[in-house]
Amino acid sequence: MLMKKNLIFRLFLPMVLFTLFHSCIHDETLASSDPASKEYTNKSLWKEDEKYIMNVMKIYQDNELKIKKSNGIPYWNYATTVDRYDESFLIVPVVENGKVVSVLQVPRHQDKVYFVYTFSEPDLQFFQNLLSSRLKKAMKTMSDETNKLTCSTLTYSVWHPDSESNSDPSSGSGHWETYHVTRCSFSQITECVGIVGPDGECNEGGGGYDYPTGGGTGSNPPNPPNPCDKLKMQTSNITFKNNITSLAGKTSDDYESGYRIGNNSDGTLQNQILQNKPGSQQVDLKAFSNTITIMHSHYDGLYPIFSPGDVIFFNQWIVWAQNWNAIPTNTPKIPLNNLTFTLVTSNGNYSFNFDGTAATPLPSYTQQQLEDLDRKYSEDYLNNAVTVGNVSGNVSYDMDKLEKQFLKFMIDKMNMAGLKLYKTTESGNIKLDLVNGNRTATNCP
Amino acid sequence: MKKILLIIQFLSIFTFCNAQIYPLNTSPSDIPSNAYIKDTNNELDKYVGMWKGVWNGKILFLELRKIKTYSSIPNDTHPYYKDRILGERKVIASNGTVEIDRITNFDIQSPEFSGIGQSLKNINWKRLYFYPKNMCRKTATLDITNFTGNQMTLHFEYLPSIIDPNCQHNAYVDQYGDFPINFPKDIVLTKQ
Repeated sequence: MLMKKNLIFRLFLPMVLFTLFHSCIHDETLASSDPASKEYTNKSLWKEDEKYIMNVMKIYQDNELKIKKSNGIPYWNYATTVDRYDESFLIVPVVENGKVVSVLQVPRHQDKVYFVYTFSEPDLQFFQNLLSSRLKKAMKTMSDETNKLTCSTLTYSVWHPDSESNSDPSSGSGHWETYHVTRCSFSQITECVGIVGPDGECNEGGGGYDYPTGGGTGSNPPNPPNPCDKLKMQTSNITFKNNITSLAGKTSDDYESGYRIGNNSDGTLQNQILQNKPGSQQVDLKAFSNTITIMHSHYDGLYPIFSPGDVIFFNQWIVWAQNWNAIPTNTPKIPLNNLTFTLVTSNGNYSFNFDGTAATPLPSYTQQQLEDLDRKYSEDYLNNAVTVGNVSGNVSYDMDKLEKQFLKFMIDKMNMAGLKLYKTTESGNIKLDLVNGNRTATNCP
Repeated sequence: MKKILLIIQFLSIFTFCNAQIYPLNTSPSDIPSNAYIKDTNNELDKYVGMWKGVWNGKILFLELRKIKTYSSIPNDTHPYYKDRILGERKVIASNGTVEIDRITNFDIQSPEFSGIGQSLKNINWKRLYFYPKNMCRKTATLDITNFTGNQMTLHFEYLPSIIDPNCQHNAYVDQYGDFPINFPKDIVLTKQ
């Protein structure tokens, strides 16, 4: 009886699997409609923001002579809004003689849309295979977890049979190959007054095309992100959170460690460990033009808040980035207000960011002045937040008082206009200020 | 008589304004600008003097003085006076060569040692801060792990810093994992 049951099971299993398999395969047929047709039929593997696609399609058709910068025809049926449904972005393949020759990106900034031709090889490949008649299956769409959408990755696999005579994956041999496209929304897009480039950079000049607003989600262009939004974008992604966990495990070392997070040109994040020299207690806080976040730890035995050296570093970073942006040929431009400097300690984590338009450099301190800053920071201001320890002599801190003393120290001794201090917790950021000499904490969701 | 009273009143106000004195543990946040955080209880006096110790055959002299300091920080919007312990050192090699002598010309504006602070390693310890010269602005702490009045034990630890690619000591640091700082990690000093 058991043998019989097993036999039935074995006979039916391939059939069940075959049925399941086919249910998630999108079998493409190009012949069903003209891909260059002026009517839109969604042939993407994903749910799309069809309203935006149709609106952009119309703008393109009305202004084709002015917009067209490349041979070929946009295949609107294959346009994808990369998991965005707020009428903000699409990419569409431009095809000539059956070959994808460029990819047109169309971001919306307020009530204007911009047409940017790109020629990135992975993107061309992505659409070329999407247009093919081979078997495809869409994979799960990956999105950044922040509700202010940052990055989305569309992935699909294409079945490449070993022999064209048998292209059925259930019976013929072959392999699946995966293609993906990732798009990130950078804050520059909302700040940009010109054309937003393929990597979110802002290229000055060049007007956009009017986007019809009124009705639907597009009627209210998104507000420019506020400082809390900008900070959240940096402090809620998974790379940042993993780094926090890693650095939190290093607070009992006797040297500092750190990470540098940067934007890759394809929109993904790059994460690098900061070089350090444990013996001489040195860490390499170096920023590049793509650096967006720098994180480091203060081990136990140091004040669990930024040091005067950290304040000087952050000031130099912002001023350097500002000078970088001032050189017209330097691209992409650095979003000054997004740069985040985070500190991890056993007593909580803190972040600096810059909420201003122009940064002023702190004085170029002499060694004597630096010593004086250190002396007043360590011996006078923060000293007061040390509380009576336990019998073993361990030091503890009145953290509210420490934050107050630190804010007062910064205002008195090394004030930098636009510098903001936040407490960065698992549940979000809290802005810390000194109002009439008292520490205030405001949620910064 | 009225005039005399007025003069006394004026003088007392003047004296009061000038004598904004606060004890040593007062936070600068709680005082007006140009006030004086003074060692009213003479708790710093016990550190003052010439201290001597030996390590690796070398002799270390550490002279500590109590000095009323002010501010050298540019754009300091809240300067104040404070009594501190400031120090300089002299290092003599075993062959008698004087390797470092900053005591002869004690620099009260920018000395190598400053205190007295609270150790952040142990609540029962006090600490000196060490700002060695020509070390690419590298700094350290000296925790006073034992103090008897005529003896004190110092424990040295670097404070962290950012790698300076232009530091002239980088090759030495890479080779030895340390700066050529010419100072012991641990030493017992005796008051002279």
